[in-house]
Amino acid sequence: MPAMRVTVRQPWWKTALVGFALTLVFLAVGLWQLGVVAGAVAGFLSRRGRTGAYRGIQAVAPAWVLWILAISLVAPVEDLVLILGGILGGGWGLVVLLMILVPIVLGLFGGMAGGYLAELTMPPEPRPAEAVGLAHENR
Amino acid sequence: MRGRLVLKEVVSLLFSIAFVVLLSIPIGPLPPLGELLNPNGGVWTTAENAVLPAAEEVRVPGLDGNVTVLRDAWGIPHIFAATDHDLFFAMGYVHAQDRMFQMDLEYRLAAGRLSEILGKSYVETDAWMRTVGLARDSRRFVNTLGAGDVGLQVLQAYADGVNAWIARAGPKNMPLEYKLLGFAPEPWAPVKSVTLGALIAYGLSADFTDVELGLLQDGLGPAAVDELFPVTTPTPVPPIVPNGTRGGGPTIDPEAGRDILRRAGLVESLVRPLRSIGSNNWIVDGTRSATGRPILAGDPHLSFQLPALWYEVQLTGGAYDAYGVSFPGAPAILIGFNRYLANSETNTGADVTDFYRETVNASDPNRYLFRNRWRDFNVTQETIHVKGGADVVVTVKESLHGPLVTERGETVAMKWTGREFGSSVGAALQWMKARSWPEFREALRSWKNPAQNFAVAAWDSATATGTIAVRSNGQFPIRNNTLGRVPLDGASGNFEWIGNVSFDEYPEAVNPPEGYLASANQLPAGSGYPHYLGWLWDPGYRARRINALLKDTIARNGTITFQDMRTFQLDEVDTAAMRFSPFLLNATATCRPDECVVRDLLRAWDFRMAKDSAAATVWHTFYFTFVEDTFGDEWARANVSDLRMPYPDVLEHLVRSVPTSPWFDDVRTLPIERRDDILRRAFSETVAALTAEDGPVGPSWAWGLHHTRVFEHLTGLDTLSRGPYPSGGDEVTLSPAAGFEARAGASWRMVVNLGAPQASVTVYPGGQSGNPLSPHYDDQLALWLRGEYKAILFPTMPTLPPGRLESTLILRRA
Repeated sequence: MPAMRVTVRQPWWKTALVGFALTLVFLAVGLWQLGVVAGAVAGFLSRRGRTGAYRGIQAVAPAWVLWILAISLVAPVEDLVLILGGILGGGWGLVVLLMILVPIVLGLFGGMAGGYLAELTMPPEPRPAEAVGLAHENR
Repeated sequence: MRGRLVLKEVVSLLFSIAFVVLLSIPIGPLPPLGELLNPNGGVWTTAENAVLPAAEEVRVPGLDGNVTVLRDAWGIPHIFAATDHDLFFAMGYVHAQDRMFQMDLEYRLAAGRLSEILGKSYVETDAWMRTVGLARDSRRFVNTLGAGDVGLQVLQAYADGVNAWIARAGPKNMPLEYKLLGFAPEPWAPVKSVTLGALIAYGLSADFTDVELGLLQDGLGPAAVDELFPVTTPTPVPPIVPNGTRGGGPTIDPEAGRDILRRAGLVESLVRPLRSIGSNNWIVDGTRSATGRPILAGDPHLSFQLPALWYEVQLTGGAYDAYGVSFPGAPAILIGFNRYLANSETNTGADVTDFYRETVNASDPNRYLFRNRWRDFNVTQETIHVKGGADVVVTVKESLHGPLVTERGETVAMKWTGREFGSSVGAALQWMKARSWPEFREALRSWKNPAQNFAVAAWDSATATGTIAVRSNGQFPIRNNTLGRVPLDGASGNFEWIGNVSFDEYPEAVNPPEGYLASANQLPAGSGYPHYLGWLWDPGYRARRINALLKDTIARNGTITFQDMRTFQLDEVDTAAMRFSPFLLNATATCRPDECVVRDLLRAWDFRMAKDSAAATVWHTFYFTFVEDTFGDEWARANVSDLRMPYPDVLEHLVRSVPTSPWFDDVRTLPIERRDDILRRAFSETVAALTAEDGPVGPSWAWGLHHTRVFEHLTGLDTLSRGPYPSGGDEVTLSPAAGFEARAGASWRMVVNLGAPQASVTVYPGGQSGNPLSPHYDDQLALWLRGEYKAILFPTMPTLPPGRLESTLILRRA
């Protein structure tokens, strides 16, 4: 009955939002590496490994991309992407790919780790009747 | 089930950690990707910092008061301060703000510390620079300065300004290059500025032609060297003094000679920005200028680079009120003007480097012979830190002549005036304040190296009197029994430097009757001059052209206008072509039909190396083919094909006066060739080569399609470089562009209106900012390429005209 178990968790956007906020805080203090922790927190709150991976990505990647998009409003980021593409040798496409891929993978692994940790530390699953009852309450 | 979960947890934790680690370490040449792409502090700050805030106030400790820095529309800072200290503090601050990486990289090159940031491929380069010892000598020099030394105080104020910027910017806001290379700047210090100054001196005055001449002499014979590399140009001026004394036997061991040239060549591409290919400056006095006051034009020819070599700045405050260009890393305006006086330099090119063959004790390699006595080499261990590798220890040995530059084949020491510091910064600080020629001249007393031809124009509005002058100034050694044109015996003590030409004997011309003066790296003094200063003078084609332009214009119009001066700087007439052409046309009077078409092109040519000129392509190709056809056979036979060939003035002399010279004979053939045979052969080869490459004569032969200018970034990265741009000019035109892909030329053009300096114009190929995303990275380049100038601003008060102010920075005392 996995579908019933999902219903006892936080709405998906809440967990992602917590991770997203954490990512922004970590970036603001200059600790991009802690993005993995933000992903893990989102994953943990989602309580499952595979779902945690999604939440981790949803927490970290948008924060990175939005931050860079915000910079691009006031600075020639697009020119920088072109220059960087030339330096790295793969063109602007490579830079955009890396720009997106790095936080995605960071969130993915963090989220998975958090999610599986939650599964390990979670109390035993409720019996079906209890689960149904909880599901009703959650509505 | 739980076991699988544990496994999944462990695996995902490991992947998380591994990925973070992977993003935190450099992979091959790539910097750590996490740091690089970090939204807050990664490369993106380069974009954020591309434009300076319109208004900014910064509190910095160590200031006497407040400093105002106004940036004009070109990003040029106009600094207004109350004290000398604050002025140079702010200069350090803006230099760092715009060019920190450039300063740092060039210092590291000078100090032999590139391996620390670039890895093991630079160890040999570093070892050479450690051997030359610019940083070691600079430290020694700075340690001799007392706390009361004005130069040291200025250097310290400047260093404090640089460090204030480093502290304020933090690692997050360092230039792009730091992020790509994964390092951060160390604190700046006075010794770093002095070391950078020493690098400039090295680039402009340490030359290895003695070694080349030694190898050429051993290959071709002494008579050939005297004939083909004369002390003075063979056409208009006889030699000043006879050529140097020689002993018997080879001049230098070939292995030693080539080892020195190879090692010196390691840094050639790196010091290329400073290797002068010649420069121009000229001045007209008030009687010959349309303004009634002197006009000065200056354009130093140094290599093109991005960020640009120069940094333009106004310094107003304390005892200073000057405008011009500085080298990032050094607190002085080297070429520029104040309200009374303007100056521009060309490289003298004096012979200030000698090489001594040391006799090393066979049983003790740390001892050498001098005047029948064994002496100990001064031995220093230099440790080179290598990025990603183990430290390398280099042992530097010095004899009393200088550092040993090779111990392969034989042991050779290098003696160079650059090791004997004057106070170049002190001289520049003094001349920036000079109000008259005598004051400027006095400032030059402490300028030792590199020797420069200083063109100076002064105007006193109160008395309506002016002065124009050119003075070759620097330390010129006097040798005993030799001119030191080839490596010398170091053991006997018979060929030592026994003094220097005295300050009052330096070549100097003041207010000549012609009403103008010009220098273009030619022979500084005429035949009556009593001292040997050198021999590697510019062949004089540019000097002849400037003098002809000034003389003819005055004869035609009575005066020279400000616009004339600008036009002359862009001149592309090749006077060598003008002088060789009659002989070429004469020798090829009988020609094949396809060659006659090309010959007609040359006959109708106006000698302008213009972009659209096919004749210019023919001439340039012909000239180098002719040089090779004349000397290549003898060079090959003597096994010196890798060494320099004679300058065009020597070849012109042979063409003009010695048509049966044996040099024209091709030693590989039985018949005896003469001048016209080789002229014809070179011409035929030229036509054949161009036809094979570009088809029949037509638009595809245009000079601009063969000849370009390139402005390379210091890192060599193509994306940060500019060009190639089709261009005119060549090695000997006033607007120079040597080779088919010119990487050097007018690095700064300036025409100064004495009496109204605010109406002067300047331009340089680049821009103020080192940030490739800044609009000021290359904004002057487009102007420069079009042959245009910008009107400068030189306000007396901290205000700029409406529409010309881009940003304001206030440095407040914390």
